[in-house]
Amino acid sequence: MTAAIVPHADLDRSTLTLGGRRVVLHCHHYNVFLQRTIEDGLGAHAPALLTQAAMESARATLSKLEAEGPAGSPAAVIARGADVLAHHGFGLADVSALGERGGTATIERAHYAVGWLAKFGRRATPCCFFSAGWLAGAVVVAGGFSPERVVARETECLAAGAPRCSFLVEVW
Amino acid sequence: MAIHERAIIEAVSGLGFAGNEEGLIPAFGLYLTKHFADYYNRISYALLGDFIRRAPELEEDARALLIEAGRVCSFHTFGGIMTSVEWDAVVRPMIESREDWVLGMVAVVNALGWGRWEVKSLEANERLVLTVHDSYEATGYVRDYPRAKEPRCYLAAGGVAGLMNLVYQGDITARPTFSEAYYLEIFRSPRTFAARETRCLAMGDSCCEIVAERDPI
Ligand SMILES: [Zn+2]
Ligand SMILES: [Zn+2]
Repeated sequence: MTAAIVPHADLDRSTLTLGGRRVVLHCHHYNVFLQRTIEDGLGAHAPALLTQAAMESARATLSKLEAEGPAGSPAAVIARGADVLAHHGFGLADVSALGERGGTATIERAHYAVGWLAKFGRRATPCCFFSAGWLAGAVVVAGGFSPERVVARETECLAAGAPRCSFLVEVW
Repeated sequence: MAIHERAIIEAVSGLGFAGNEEGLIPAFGLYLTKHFADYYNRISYALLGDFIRRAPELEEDARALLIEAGRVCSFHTFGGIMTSVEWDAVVRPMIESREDWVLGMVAVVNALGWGRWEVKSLEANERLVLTVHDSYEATGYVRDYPRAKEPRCYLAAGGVAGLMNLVYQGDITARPTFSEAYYLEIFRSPRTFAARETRCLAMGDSCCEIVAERDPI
C-alpha cells in the first residue's frame, strides 16, 4: 500500500482529506442504519442513488490521485481503487478479473454486508451499493470514460446468504 | 488533571486505523470505515430533496430520520469508544468529573475528521452548547447546494444529543451494554436530550452551533 491512499490529517482543524475530499470515520451501525433509512425513504430509487453516489466518490478521489501521481496503467488504477477500499475498511476486493472493459470482482467480507448482518441480520437482496459504485468509479477513471458508460451491480451478497459478495461491472 | 484535548487527538490519530487482512477495521467493538463525506452528503441531501419535492412539509420528516441516524451513530460509536480499552488508557486518567466524560468524548470526535467540535458551555445534567467548525455536512452542503433556510448538520445534531444521553440520561460510567432496550430506555424517555442546530454554515453563519437540552423540541 502506498502513502498516496492514506488520508491527510489536519489535527488543528480536525479534518481528514484524500484527493482533496473530506474523509470521516464512521462505524457500521451508522453506515447500515443510514442506508436503511435511504432505502426505506426512497424505495426503488435508492439503489441507483447509493451506487451513483459511490461512483462519484471514487471518480473524484481516484482521478485526483491520478493527477497527483499516475498509477501507470488502467489495471493499476483499478488496483489502487481496491487498495483504497481495503485501507478504508470496506473489505478486500479481488479485482483480478476486472479491467478497463469491465468484468467481475469479489469481496469476501464487505463492510456493508458484514455490518448489515451484525446489526439487522440477513436480507433478501444485496446491500453493497457502495462497493459496486466504487468499483464502477475505478473503471471510469481507469478507462477515462464518461460515468454513464459504466454500470455496476452486486450479483450476490454475503448479507443475502451468498458465500461472498460478487460484482459485475459493464462498460457500454 | 483536566481533559487535555490535544493529547487525546494525537493519541487517537496515532492509532492509525486501517483495514486489516480482510480489509475491515474492527475497533471499539464496531467495524469502522474511513468513509467519504461526499457520499454521506449526497445520499442524505437526496433523501431530503426527494421528501421536499413530494411535499414541502415533509422536510421535517427527512430531518427527523437523518437526526435519528445520528443518534444511533452516537449511541454505538461514542458508547463503544467510552467503554473501550483505548479510552481507559488515554482519556480515563484525565477524568475528574462526569462533565469530563463529555469533554473527553468531544476531544475524541476531533480525531474523526468530522471538523472541530468545541464546547462553549456545559451545564451538568441540563444543557450543552457546542460549535462545529468545518462540519463535513455543512461544508459539503455549501459546495453543492444553494444557501439553506434551515440547518443541515443532522449527524452532528443527533450525535450531540446522543452524547448527552449517554452521559446524563443513561450512565456511561457504569459500562452499559449497548442493546436495543438500552437505546429505547435513554432515547425514548420523556427526559431525553434533544438537540437543535441554532447556527449553520449552510445558512451563511460563520460556523455551526448545536444546543442540546432535555426538553424535546
Ligand atoms: Zn454484499
Ligand atoms: Zn451546520
